[in-house]
Amino acid sequence: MNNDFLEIKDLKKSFGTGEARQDVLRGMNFTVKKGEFCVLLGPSGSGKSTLLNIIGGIDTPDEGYVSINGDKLEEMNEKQLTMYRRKHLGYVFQMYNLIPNLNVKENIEVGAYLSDKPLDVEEVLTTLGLQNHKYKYPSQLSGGQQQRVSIGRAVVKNPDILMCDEPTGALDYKTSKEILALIEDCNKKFGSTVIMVTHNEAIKYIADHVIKLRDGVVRHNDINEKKISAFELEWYPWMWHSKM
Amino acid sequence: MGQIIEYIKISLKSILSNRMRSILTMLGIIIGISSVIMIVSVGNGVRNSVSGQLDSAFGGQTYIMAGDMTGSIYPEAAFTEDDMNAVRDKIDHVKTLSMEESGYGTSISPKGEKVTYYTAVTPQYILANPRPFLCGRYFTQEEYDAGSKVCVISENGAKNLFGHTDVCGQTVSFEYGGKLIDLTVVGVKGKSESELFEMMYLEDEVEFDLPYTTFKSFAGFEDEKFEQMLFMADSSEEAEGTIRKIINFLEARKQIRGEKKITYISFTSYLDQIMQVINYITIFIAFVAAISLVVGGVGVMNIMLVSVTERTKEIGIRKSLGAKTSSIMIQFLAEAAVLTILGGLFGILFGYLGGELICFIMSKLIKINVVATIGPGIVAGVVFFSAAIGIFFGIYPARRAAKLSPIEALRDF
Ligand SMILES: Nc1ncnc2c1ncn2[C@@H]1O[C@H](COP(=O)(O)OP(=O)(O)O)[C@@H](O)[C@H]1O
Ligand SMILES: [Mg+2]
Repeated sequence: MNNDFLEIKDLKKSFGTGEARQDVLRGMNFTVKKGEFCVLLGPSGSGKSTLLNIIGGIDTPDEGYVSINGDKLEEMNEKQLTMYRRKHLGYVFQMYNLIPNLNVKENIEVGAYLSDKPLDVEEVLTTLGLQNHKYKYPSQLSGGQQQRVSIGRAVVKNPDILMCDEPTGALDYKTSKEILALIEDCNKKFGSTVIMVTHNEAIKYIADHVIKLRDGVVRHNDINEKKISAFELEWYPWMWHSKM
Repeated sequence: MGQIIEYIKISLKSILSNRMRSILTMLGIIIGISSVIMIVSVGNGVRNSVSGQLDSAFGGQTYIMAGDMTGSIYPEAAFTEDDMNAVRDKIDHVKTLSMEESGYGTSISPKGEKVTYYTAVTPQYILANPRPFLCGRYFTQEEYDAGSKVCVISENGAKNLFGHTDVCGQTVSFEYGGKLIDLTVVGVKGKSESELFEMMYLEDEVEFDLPYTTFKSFAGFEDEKFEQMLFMADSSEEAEGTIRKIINFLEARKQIRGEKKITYISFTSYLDQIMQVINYITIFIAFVAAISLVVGGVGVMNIMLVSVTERTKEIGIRKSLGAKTSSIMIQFLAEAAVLTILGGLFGILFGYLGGELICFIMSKLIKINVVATIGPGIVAGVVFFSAAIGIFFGIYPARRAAKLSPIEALRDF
């Protein structure tokens, strides 16, 4: 076995039929090594979320496969998929997706309960700077704070793979950098493989592995030898929503 | 176990976060359970009260009959005074053994003529029908043996004949069958302590008890036989055995051994039958009330479906984080069950209070003291049953929630 942890092979996915048919993934190939910090770049609508959903085992490809540690997701039954999500995955959604009637601590506990090897909830709260907010409800938090909770809920599972769908998509510059630093920390401290989706080109400098998607295929697949830390990262406001 | 508590906590949170809706949903269950509890508690109260009241009036009484429960009468088995005396001589633990020869005559007093109900008995009769005395005493064995012209009059009788109750030593002129006898009042009997008995008893203007011996010679009866006698043992433990001995003794005396022509009925067994009837009525009404619980259950199902729809996103999140289908299912079942159990608990509370209220009104209106009563068994049963309703009506919504695919559930973001 080579040390490819995650393998994406000839992945195809389309939505709709006939006139309305839209091929979102058109034969996508790449691999990710264990412990890598991998950034998926691509403009809006390029199928990044669709790809993450397939990797996360909550959507299925039309063709091709995703394999993790040599196990193909498509060969797993519903129970095995659940166990896969439970044991290996941490999922940070683009829109935070917190549970509105649970407070910060309880939202993070939702993740902790699902893991065999969870981190200490209080420690995670401290690391995320949420100690003073732990009894607040999502509606009482700012966007950045909600995203921290969402990251906390994923990280507390101590997952093998941390998947983040545009974690900074709706945040300001300063908060974005803090969030990126947190994800970076998680990668370094716990050795989680990180797959982060973004359309912000500047973020590629903090990654080990940069994959650019366009028109449903991989356009560039580069290893970044000179990665910098999130705190060294700078970008300009007009790059903020750059469409590459 | 920790998991279960977690599910209950989550359920309570979600129920509390939709307080108004939860209350409205529970209302059906609350109404259903509280009506059942109300009916059962009042039913229990009535049963206790009736049995207590009747027991204080008739407790321990047994009738020995020269006949059987089918209504047949066997003259060859009928009892005489000699039979009674023999029983009293030969058998222990007999407190009361008396004929009850009763009927109507007329009492003549300064206030006019009054319809009079007489009861001719032995002196132990009063022991089986205890009453307070307003003055004097019951007639004695000596007076009985001597056939003394005495009587023990009822409170109302005294008032109707003399205008007051302090009439010991006064004389009552009693006319029966064209004959007249002057009886000296030796005692005035007060009312029974059982309100229920007093309520149901249709009292005549004048009532009195007199020795059977006195009545027999006055009326000119000879060798009279009785189809039944009132018996009471000196303790309830001895009752059963003593009755058997008496029946065996009488059967032997009349040479009708084993013909089952002498039988008995105790007040206890009669009371049991009444209680059984009250039980059936209570169960039937409670059952009818329980039907409303189905309506409550459908309400729970409805609201759980709404809840599933509302929380599609939450379900999607949990599933995509790796929550098992079964744990989503359990979460919604737990919520439905917690909802109905809460409804059940409130139902018990309101039902009990409602029962108390009904009993209070009842005691004001008909002056019968009824105390609403529910046992721990009923409470446990109701809690269990309301949980069952929640789980039963929660299954469909919970399955719907559990079956949602995470990608569908997370759509629209
Ligand atoms: N369930 C779906 N049904 C139809 N079209 C979809 C569905 N999910 C995604 N799409 C379409 O697929 C394309 C890629 O979507 P997505 O993966 O969300 O892109 P990205 O995350 O890169 O912005 C979009 O054009 C979107 O409209
Ligand atoms: Mg997206």
